[in-house]
Amino acid sequence: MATEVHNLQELRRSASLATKVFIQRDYSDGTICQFQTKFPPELDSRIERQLFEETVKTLNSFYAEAEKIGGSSYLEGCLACATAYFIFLCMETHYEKVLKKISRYIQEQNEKVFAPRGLLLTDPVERGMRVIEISIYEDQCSSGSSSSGSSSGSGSSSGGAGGR
Amino acid sequence: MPPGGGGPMKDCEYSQISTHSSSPMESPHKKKKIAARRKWEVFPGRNKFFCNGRIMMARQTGVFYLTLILILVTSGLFFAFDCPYLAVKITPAIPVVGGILFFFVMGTLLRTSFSDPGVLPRATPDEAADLERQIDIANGTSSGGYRPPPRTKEVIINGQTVKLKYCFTCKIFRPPRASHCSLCDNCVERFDHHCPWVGNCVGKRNYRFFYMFILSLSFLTVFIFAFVITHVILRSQQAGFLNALKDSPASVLEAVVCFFSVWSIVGLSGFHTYLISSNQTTNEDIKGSWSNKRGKENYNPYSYGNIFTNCCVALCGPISPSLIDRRGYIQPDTPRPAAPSNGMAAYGATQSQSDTCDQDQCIQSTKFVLQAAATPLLQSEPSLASDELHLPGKPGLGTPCASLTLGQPTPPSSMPNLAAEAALTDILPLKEEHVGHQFLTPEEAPSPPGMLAGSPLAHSRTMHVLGLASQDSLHEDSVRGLVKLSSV
Repeated sequence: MATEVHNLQELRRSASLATKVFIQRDYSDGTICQFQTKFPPELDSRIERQLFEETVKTLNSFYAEAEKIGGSSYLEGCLACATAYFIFLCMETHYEKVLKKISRYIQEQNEKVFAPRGLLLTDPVERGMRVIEISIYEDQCSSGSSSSGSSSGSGSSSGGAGGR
Repeated sequence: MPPGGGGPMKDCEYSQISTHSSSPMESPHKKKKIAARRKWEVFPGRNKFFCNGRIMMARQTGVFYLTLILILVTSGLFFAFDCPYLAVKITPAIPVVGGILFFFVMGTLLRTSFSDPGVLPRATPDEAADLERQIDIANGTSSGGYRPPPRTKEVIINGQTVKLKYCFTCKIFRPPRASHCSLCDNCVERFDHHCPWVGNCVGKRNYRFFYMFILSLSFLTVFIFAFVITHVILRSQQAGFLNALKDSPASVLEAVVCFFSVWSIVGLSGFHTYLISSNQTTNEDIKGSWSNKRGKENYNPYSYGNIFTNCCVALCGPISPSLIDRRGYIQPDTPRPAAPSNGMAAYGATQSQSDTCDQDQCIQSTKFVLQAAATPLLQSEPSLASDELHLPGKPGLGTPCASLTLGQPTPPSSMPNLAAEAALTDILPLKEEHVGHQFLTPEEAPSPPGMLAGSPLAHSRTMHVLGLASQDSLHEDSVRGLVKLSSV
């Protein structure tokens, strides 16, 4: 059976959503934004543990950079205070810049890593920074047997693409 | 036609199908244009939005207008009546400095009142279902329990054990330091308190604006008070005290307003300066979460160790953007999971309509409410007890604004047709009454928190308050509600 590499649009069009996995926040270091790197068992057959952990760790590092307290953030804060916070009308904050970087990264990861495996990452910002939502798709056209997409042989098509 | 076959046919009567349909398809001109709606229009919390979602305030804004009027009128009178005399007699720098202070006060006030305090958006149905499933797994069996499963998670932060509570309204585990504002019906990050004077909650995103507001207002009040007194003294040196008062009656009004404001505002500034330097919220301070009285090992895990860093972080740290995306457009429903291939997707995801998912959540929540109703008071959760406000040990001066730090989970407001909500709303107006009463006299010591603590809106407590007799009708109504839900 030829393994199909799905691209993002194809995935959204032809695949049906099987389930969603939620990676919760890790509060062990306080209130900073960090996600748990624990590998969820539902993704066991879908993606390599190392790839997943790398993605989450990179995201965590981006958030740490956004919330970093240091010289530049103090400068920005003082400048904003001095202008009675009117400067925010024309300038975007450091945090917002990093969030844009994060959404670009997630888009890129989805295209390169997750979509070929039938997975889709949702930007945590869209979920109130509470969870990383990973949607697991069942491909309808791969099994070819039923249209409901609930085939148990789903692991065959996407498992092959993983190339373990 | 054969007679045998015609027999049954004679019995059939064909009723005329009505060609006049009352469907909306009648007139093609009345095509409904579904305009793209912005997310603020369907925001579930009790907030008011202005300027197409740019401005966000609490529902009750009456006291905010009072604040605005007080500041504008007092400053206006000062600039109109006292400044001309003082600018000539002493120095023109007085109106200039006064003007700068005034603009700073107004700017920070509007910033505090109009911005998002750090509201956490409510969980999507999928998330809520996933959490419920995890809670059920963690607690073993979900049905037949005698007590509602304790919805808390423990986390160790910098060596301190912190309990994360589950919010029944927002269906999330609240992050540390977050709390649910019962007035706005939102979970707010780093919740400080709900300030009726600014007409908004004070939380992570607008705490620095609030602090700057009260600080600059203290300076402005002291400034106006000092120079009004100077003005009256200078005039009375020329013309006598009574004549001076007659010449500038506005000064009397200003002096009175400033005199009464100074105590509370300056006291509040001092209190918040203390909170900032120790990196605590009003909520935590009132509950005594990190005080030494709870135990020698108890310390604040969020503090950075020294006062300078704590202040810098609170005032100059990065501001996170608003998570609720008020002005975004509502997206069409994302694809729901199809047929459940395993047990995991079975939770309320069998149909493609989000309504059904919500109803499943409603049924789940109802189950817990019914279980709570059956629970005798003795088995109420110890975690809920910690929500109750300890009567403030430090009286009034610094805390006129701190009276509304209730961080208790409100009953789910998204449950239609359930008498539980109806019964609870009986209690809500009572509570609102108390709350409304205390807005008017901020100078008084905040005794209301003690009053309010006597009637918290926790699930099991409420059921107890209703009494056993009404529990039967409650149960009946809830069952009726369930039947209504399941029949849709």
